[in-house]
Amino acid sequence: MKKNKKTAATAAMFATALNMALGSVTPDTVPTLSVKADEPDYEPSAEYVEEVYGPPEFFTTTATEDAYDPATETETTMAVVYGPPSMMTTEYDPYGNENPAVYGPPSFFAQGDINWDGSTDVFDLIRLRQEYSDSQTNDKYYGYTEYDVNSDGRLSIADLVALNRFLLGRSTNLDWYYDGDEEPMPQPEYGAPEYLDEDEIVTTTMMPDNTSEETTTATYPVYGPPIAFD
Amino acid sequence: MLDVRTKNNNMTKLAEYREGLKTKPQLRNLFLELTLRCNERCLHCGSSCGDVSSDELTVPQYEKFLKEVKEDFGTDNKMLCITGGEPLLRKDFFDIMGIANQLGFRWGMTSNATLIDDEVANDLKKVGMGTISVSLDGLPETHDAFRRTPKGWERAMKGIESLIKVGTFKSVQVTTVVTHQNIGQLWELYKILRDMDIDSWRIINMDPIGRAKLHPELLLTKEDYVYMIEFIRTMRIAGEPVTYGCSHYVGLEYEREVRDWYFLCTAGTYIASIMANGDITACLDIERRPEFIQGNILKDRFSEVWNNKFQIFRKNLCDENEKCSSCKEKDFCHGGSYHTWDFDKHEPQVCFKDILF
Repeated sequence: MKKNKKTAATAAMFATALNMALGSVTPDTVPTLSVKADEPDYEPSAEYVEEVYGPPEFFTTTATEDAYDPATETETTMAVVYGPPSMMTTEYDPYGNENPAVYGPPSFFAQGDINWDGSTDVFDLIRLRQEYSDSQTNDKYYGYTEYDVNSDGRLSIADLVALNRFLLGRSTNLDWYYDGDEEPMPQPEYGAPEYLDEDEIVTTTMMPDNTSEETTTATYPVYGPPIAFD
Repeated sequence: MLDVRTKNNNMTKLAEYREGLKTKPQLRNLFLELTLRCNERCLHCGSSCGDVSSDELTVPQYEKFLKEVKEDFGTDNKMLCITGGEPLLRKDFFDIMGIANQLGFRWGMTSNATLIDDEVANDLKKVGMGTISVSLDGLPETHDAFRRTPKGWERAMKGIESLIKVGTFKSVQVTTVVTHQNIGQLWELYKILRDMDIDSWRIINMDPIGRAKLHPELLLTKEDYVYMIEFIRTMRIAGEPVTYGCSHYVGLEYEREVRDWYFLCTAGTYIASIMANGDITACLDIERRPEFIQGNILKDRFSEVWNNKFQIFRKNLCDENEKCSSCKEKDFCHGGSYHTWDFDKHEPQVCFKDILF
C-alpha cells in the first residue's frame, strides 16, 4: 500500500499524541487492541499486538552471548542485521559504524535514520512504527539494527518514544529511554501543547552538520468530508 | 488518543457548518447508477443487484443530462461517481464516460474488477477515470462465497493488477465490507494488501440495508465493532493508508482517528444520485421509497430539483427520535447516516453509543 503525505501526517499526529501520553507509558507498555475476540471467530495470535521482550527464542549465536550484559556500558555491538551475527568490539559512533556488516545492508546510517535517506525526520518515525507493528508477528531480530534507536538491544516502544522525543526537540540523545526512575514529563492540562495544533505538523530534521531544521506544515482539513473515493 | 478538546471544537464548528449546508447545499458528488445488473450476487448488496431487469438510460439521455449539469453547476469541484450493479456490464459504458470526460467532469467508480483486464484498464484511462474502488470482502474462499461468484477473488485481483499496471489513476482503492464472518481475516487480508501497490484500503461495516437485511447473522456484534475500529486506528498509527468509510459517528475518542475527516452525512447537501431509471435521490444506499424520489431527469431539470426539493434530506434526523434528541452527542451525530435510519420507526438502525462512546 502506498504511503503519502496524508498518511505521514496522520502517523505524525499519533506520534505526537503518544508522546503526550508519555507520563503514563513505560517501555514495557505497548498499544494493544482493546478487544480480544473469543475463538472460533478470531485468531488472537494473528490479530493483536503482543508485548515483546528481547530477541525471539529461536535466536542463537556462536558468540559469547552469555557474557554480554546490555545493561552495562559496553563497546561491544552487533553489527549485522541479517544472517549469522558476529560480535565485534568497536567504538560507538552515533553517526555510523566503521565496520561494514558481513551480511545484509551496510550499517552506514546515522542513529535514527531508519530509512537511510540521510536525515532523521518524521518519515523515519513512520518507518519505525511500521516495522514495530510488523515485529509483533515476524521472527526478525532487531537488536542494534537501525530500528534499535536507543541501542538497548531490542525493538520496543522505547525506540518509538526516543525517536519521537528527538524529533520534537525534547531530547538530543537518542539513547534516552524511560527506565521508570526518570520523572515523567509534565503534561499540559488537556494534553496538547499550545504551540502544537492538531492542524500543524512540526518536523525537525537533523542535518549532517549537526544542525537542525524545523518546518511547520498544515496538512489536512479541519472539517468536512473529502471528495468521494479520495 | 488525540486531543479531545480540539476534536470537540472542530466538531462544534462542523455542526454549525452543517446548519448552513441545509439552506445552501453545495453539489460536489453526483452518483450515477448506470445499471442494476451485476455479474455477482453479494449477500450484502444495498441495491439488491444481480441478474435483474433494469430500466436504463440511453447514451443520448446521459449526454443531455450531463450537459445540463455542466451548464447549471459547472464541472469545477464536481465529481461523478459511477456505480451500479457492475457498471462495466453496460456495453455503452465507454460511450457514456467518454462524453463525461469530454465535458470536463472528473469521475471515479466502484467495481468488482472482474471484468477488467489490461485492455479495459487502458480504455478506462482513455476516458479519464481518476479513481476506482474495488471490492475484496475477505480471503479468497470467503470473498467468493460472500459474493456468490466462483473465482471472483482471482478475477478481482487480476483486475486490480491491470489497474495498477496502467499506473496513471489518481487512486486505486480496495474496499472491504466487514461482517461477523470475515472480521477475523482482517490481519491476513492486510498482509496481502500491504504488498500491493494500491493507494488505500477502505474498511466499512456491513449495514442492515438491501439484501443484507436477509442475513442478520452477518451483522457485527458490539465486540466486532470495537475490534474493527481499533484495527483501523492501529493501522493508521503505523502509517498505513487504511480508512474507515464515511458512515456513522464513532464518538469523540475515534473521530478523526479512523478517517481523515469528521463524520458528516452529506446525502442531499453535497451528494445527489441518479438511479438507473433516471430517478433523482440523495444517496443510493438510502432505502428506495417513493418519498425519497425527488424527480426524474427524463422530465425534470436536475438543478431545479436540487435547489427546490431535497428538504427531506436537509434536516436533523435526531429531532425525530426522543432518545436521539436528548443525547449529548446529537450535534455531532445528527441522527447518523441517512441510509441506516429506520424511517418507519424513526430511529437509527446503527448507533455506536455504548459501543464506541
